[in-house]
Amino acid sequence: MRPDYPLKTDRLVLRPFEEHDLDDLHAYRSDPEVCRYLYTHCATLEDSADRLTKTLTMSELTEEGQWLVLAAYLPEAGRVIGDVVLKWISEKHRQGEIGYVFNPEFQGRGLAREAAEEMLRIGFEDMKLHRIEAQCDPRNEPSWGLMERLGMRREAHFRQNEVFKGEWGDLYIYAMLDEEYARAS
Amino acid sequence: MRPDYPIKTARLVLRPFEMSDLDDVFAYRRLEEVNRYLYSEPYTRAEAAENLAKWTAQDEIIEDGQSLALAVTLEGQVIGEADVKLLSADHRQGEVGYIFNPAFHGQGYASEAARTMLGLGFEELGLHRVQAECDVRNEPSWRVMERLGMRREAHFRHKEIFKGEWGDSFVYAMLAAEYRTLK
Ligand SMILES: CC(C)(COP(=O)(O)OP(=O)(O)OC[C@H]1O[C@@H](n2cnc3c(N)ncnc32)[C@H](O)[C@@H]1OP(=O)(O)O)[C@@H](O)C(=O)NCCC(=O)NCCS
Ligand SMILES: CC(C)(COP(=O)(O)OP(=O)(O)OC[C@H]1O[C@@H](n2cnc3c(N)ncnc32)[C@H](O)[C@@H]1OP(=O)(O)O)[C@@H](O)C(=O)NCCC(=O)NCCS
Repeated sequence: MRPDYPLKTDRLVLRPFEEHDLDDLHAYRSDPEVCRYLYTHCATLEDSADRLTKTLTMSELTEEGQWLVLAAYLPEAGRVIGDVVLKWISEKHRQGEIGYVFNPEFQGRGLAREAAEEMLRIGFEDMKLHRIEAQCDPRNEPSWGLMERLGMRREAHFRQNEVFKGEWGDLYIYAMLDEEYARAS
Repeated sequence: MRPDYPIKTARLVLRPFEMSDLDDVFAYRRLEEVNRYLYSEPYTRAEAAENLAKWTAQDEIIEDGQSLALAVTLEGQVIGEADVKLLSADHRQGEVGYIFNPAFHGQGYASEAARTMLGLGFEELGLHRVQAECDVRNEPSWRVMERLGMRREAHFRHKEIFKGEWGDSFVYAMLAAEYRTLK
């Protein structure tokens, strides 16, 4: 499955990453506030360049286990302001997972939500997934707040199920089924 | 981690499986009702022997992903099995499970054996958190988890196709600190 690029939402253009996105990507991936609840640490310029190289090819889903990684480009600002992902977890069980990371300068405007909604659409409509989940640290309220705005339900609160950045971390898992998606849209 | 065998509880003795347990194991592993909510299907006698051979070879846990399945015996007869699995040494996570012969259900034997496996997990493996999973329709199973003092942490809807239909599952868990308070 390869989406018909560029994908357009009300305010954004979603497309695969391109070589020249490095500065835009690094601007938020190097921000400690952005990385607080991500598994990755704050990116050095070299980390961002590595990430960019890897994501350049993540523009289609041909087998389970792969990630679709898209740049959220905001025409009004002329730059990439975040990234959204859709992971194909299982073909047999038709499962997927979404994720999002945005530049704080452009948070609080519903832009992450707009991009995430498009990933749900790709997952349910193009990939015919049955269930899509999203995970975050319970302290990351902006993240699960967004999951709730997307209409996802909290299915799990794992307590101290992993060591996260040197301390015991909890995990929320939210999910949505295709029938719930169909009802909502 | 290799426990000191045999492990004695109030009424039961837990020990590694032996090939001579075949009749006892086959007696319940062949039953439809026992397999209803397990990923496995009823065993033929040959399958029971094949699996038994694997379990007998496994009496310790060395690395992630390994589990210890012990024979639970009552007066010399194997009435079920209980296991503990090391999910992650780095994160000190594990999982317990249990399967009993229906002729011995309803007497607290599964809970008694499962409590022993929690003990192995927390005390011998030094785990920080131990979980258990089951199909939501498997009430006898999650009742055991609640009897042990585990908390329900997840209710997954349609996370997988189970035996031909969308299945729902519960994940229960207990932390080391909770285990110490309950003891
Ligand atoms: C998680 C993250 C993407 C959420 O971003 P966000 O901008 O808060 O999310 P949304 O796009 O849903 O925007 C919602 C906010 O915009 C406001 N908003 C303004 N205009 C809006 C519009 N047209 N539509 C919807 N919301 C709008 C909402 O009221 C809400 O504001 P609030 O946070 O003050 O309640 C962001 O916090 C982030 O990148 N964090 C760092 C990385 C990270 O942790 N990612 C998740 C890992 S699990
Ligand atoms: C799951 C399973 C092991 C539970 O067995 P169980 O016998 O119900 O569990 P316990 O040992 O905790 O026994 C509890 C019952 O014994 C009763 N009991 C009697 N004496 C008791 C005692 N001394 N202590 C505790 N309970 C006692 C309890 O009241 C309870 O009865 P109830 O079911 O009528 O409420 C069993 O149903 C089974 O083997 N199922 C098939 C395999 C399976 O699905 N395994 C789990 C996969 S996730």
